[in-house]
Amino acid sequence: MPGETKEYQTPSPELSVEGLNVVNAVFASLTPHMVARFGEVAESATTALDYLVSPELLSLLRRTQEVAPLLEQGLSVLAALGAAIDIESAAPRVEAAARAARKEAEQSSRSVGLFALRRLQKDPGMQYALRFLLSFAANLRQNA
Amino acid sequence: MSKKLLIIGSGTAGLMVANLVARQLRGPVAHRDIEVTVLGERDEYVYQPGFLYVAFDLWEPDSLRRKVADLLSPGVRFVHDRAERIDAAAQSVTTRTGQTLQYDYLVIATGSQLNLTEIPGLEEGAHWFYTLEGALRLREALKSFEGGRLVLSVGIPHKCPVAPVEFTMMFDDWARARGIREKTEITYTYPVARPHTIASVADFADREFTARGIEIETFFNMDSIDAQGKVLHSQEGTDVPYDLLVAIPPHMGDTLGAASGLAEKGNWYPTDRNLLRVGAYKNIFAVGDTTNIPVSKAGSVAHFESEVLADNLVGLLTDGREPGHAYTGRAFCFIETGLEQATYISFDFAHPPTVPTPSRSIHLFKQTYNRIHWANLKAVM
Repeated sequence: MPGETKEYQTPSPELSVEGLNVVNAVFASLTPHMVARFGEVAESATTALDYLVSPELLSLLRRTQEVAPLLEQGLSVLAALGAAIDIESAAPRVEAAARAARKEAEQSSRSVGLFALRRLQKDPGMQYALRFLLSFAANLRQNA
Repeated sequence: MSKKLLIIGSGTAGLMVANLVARQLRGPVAHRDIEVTVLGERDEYVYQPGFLYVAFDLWEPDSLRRKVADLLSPGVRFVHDRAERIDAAAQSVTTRTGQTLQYDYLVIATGSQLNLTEIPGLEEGAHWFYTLEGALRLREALKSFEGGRLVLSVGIPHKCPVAPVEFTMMFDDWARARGIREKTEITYTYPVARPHTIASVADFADREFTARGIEIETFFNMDSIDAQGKVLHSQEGTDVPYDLLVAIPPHMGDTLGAASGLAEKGNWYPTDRNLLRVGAYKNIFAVGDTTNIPVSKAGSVAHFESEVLADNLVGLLTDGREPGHAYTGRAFCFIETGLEQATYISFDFAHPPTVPTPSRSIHLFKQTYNRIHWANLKAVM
């Protein structure tokens, strides 16, 4: 507004000096390897952000919105799957598979995750669940 | 035929070198093309900068301890045993239990330890905070301290060179907070002509101590302690009576070096200050406190050195590349200037440090670092 005055508060010199002091301390304490590792983390975060704002993700969200009623119906079908799988007996098997995967990974340069997936897909309960999910996904696709 | 890297010592430097190499050579280490082994006498790692806080009852000792096995990267083997002798010609190390471990490259990271026998009466008459047991004993002594004369006396050489200055200022704050400062005298003694070997730290300590009413006695080399009479004698002929004596015992290197004919006076290894090679050996390196490099014996030095050494070892282990990375003497030390403020120094061989004005922010930064140190050790941050 004409004639209006505004007051801006600037940081005190003491605060600026202290801020600079901390920044200097942080830089002085960093090692080249630490900087490289921070760089990796920053890059992963940026990549994740890229995905989040991508047109592909937006389109996927729109599509999900469109098929929401179908998904709702599907949830009741999924409840039947939950009842069909005996969680109590599956848990120890999954644990054993994870242990074996860790052991295999120690002998190899591959990640534990790869071995875990390979082991889990051999499990009969898991195979049943996967088959169910695949046919369920196919139904969804057809009806969408 | 796999290449063997053997690291003696499971302290900061030993663990960092092992984890940094294993992290960079994940594939060859997993396939056992490169074997990384840590040989350590202790299977528990203790975060030594925390001792200062334990003494003032600010931290519990359990927060400082972790199992060595939990701190090693996947693929690194840990042998819990003591190294008794290094045979440089045979490229092997024999252990207390009789094992012989072969190596292609050896890293000595055996640290430093207190020499409690050099000063008669020290064990009986003094407290210290350079071991966890010592810090816990001092904590009990401080709990029952109701005033009198506290003497902080520094012996050399010792690790973490700013810790005596930190303790003195923290004690001053602590005594004020307890309301006993009026009936407490504090005396700080140091072996050379000023209160610290680093000129800027000496100037800073001089100013701070004077402002806080702390008495400084220079040219004071501990000679002996009369534990019964509670008097500290110096080699220079001065006597200082005390009610509570906190001493910084002189340090020495591990006896392994002398037993192997590799170490010099004080059991320190003669180490190239840039490449960290021991003597004329191309495949033996020393890192951390155990070197004779004229730089502070401090965790940050171990950290900076470890990164340089790890990079050089990666080259040697993969294609025999000559070491190309040089340690430049970098060091970084926080200085607690009381219970709620801190400052820091940062320096290298060519650039001496300055001491910025203490602030609460730096104290909080130090407290944060204390929590994330474990991630540094594991080479994940």
